[in-house]
Amino acid sequence: MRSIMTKAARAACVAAILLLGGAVSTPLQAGEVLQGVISNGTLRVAVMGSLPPFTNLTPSGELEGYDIDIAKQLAAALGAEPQFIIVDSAGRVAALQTHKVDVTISDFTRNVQRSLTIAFSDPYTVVPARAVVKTDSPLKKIEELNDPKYKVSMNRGGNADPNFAAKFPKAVRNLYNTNADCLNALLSGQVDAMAEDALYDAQEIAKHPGQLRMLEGDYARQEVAIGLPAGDAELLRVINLWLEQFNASGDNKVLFKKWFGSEPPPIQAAY
Amino acid sequence: MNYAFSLRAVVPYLNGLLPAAMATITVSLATMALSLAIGMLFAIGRQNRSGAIRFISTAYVEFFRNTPLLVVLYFVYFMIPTIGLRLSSFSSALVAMTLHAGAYMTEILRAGLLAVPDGQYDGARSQGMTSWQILRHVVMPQVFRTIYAPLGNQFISIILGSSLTSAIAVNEVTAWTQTAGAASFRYFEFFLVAAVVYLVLSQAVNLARIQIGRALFPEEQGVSGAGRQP
Repeated sequence: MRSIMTKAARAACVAAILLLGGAVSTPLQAGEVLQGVISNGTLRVAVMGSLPPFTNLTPSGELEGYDIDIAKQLAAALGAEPQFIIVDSAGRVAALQTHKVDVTISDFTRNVQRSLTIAFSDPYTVVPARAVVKTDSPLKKIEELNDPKYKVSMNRGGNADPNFAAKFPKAVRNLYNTNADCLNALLSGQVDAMAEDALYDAQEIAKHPGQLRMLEGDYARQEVAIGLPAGDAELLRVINLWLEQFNASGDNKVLFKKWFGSEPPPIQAAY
Repeated sequence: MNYAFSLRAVVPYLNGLLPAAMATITVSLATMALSLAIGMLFAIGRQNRSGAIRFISTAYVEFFRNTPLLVVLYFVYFMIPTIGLRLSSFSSALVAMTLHAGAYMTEILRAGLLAVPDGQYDGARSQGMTSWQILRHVVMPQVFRTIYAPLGNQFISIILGSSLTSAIAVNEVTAWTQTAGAASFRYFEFFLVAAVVYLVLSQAVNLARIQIGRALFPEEQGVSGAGRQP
């Protein structure tokens, strides 16, 4: 009996060591991701499943959206087929860290904190981050939220939490796992406002006519960019070149108008 | 790019862990106490002479045993406000978890009550004991001995179920794990710390249960969970 126990214990230890060993990724060789894309003919793209109009899963199982079209055009320019992998808000970074995907195109806002572990391309659109309230709320300007009696809902794992905390530290921040929960909290009166990027806010206002409106002012200027694994300067160089031409030729404007129905905001900040 | 496992990444976020653990402990202990009380109520209700009371008790048990805790949490937090009653995150969590755990407690206590032989009641009544005295001195010690192990299971299940309350913005250990993990992108380390915290909490409750059982019912075998070997 005892010898079987020690054998089982030893087998368990070996299995654990192998599993842990496999979990540690090897460092990237220069140009490795780009070479992988070219030789395999596949561009693996991480997207979020349900963030219309950036990405949306139709009932037939197809993905469609602004980010999806961008990914398809990028893949075509690289001479590869796009392969979409659905992740959640936090998985956008984790998938790049573990090399499960080559790029992330998913309403991915670039900031310094994230760029410590992954790389970002230049932005392909810029969105102000604003707050939404119910139409009968007494609030008018976003600065009024900086008060401990106001509760604001936002996504856990997004960048609303640190940005909002930096600008309006006195507000009480309620974090929820999905945007749908944040919106439910606002509609049921559990919170006074919801903080998200202006494009999402506009969508929700259109979907709930007469119930919601945006507060004046914003709490952040969000640059939406393509995420890629850190350490591959070749891929970054190629993607940035493609993005520059994508913007300059007017293709970006066409896609933006198709999915958002309005003119895109200027990407370059005036300073 | 290396994923270098480093527990030191957890350190800047550790001062958020203590209030989170306190929230987990508070909501779990409160749920345990309240659901035991509700369980006792409905367990006796299920044996009641009146058909109406039996029906209400059975309906309560069947409804809350067959709905997931997350659904109950969502319902209490998001749906109840639409009829005018708005509860905070913590209160909603307490109400939802008590309703859910209370159904399981009812069944556990009912099993314990059924296990007490009828002769005990007759014998106690022949001694002139009142109903309350019978319950306190004859029935409950025997019930407790029967339900001891399932009660421990239920307590641990309450502690682990409290992790779901992160979905309704209760600032407890799972919420801390997800928020800190998302801020630092080091999920492995944070989930490991969270697992250890839950392990410690569950074992602490387990040991407390054993000690309290020994103190309350010293003469009963098996109450400590160890039992005497035949």
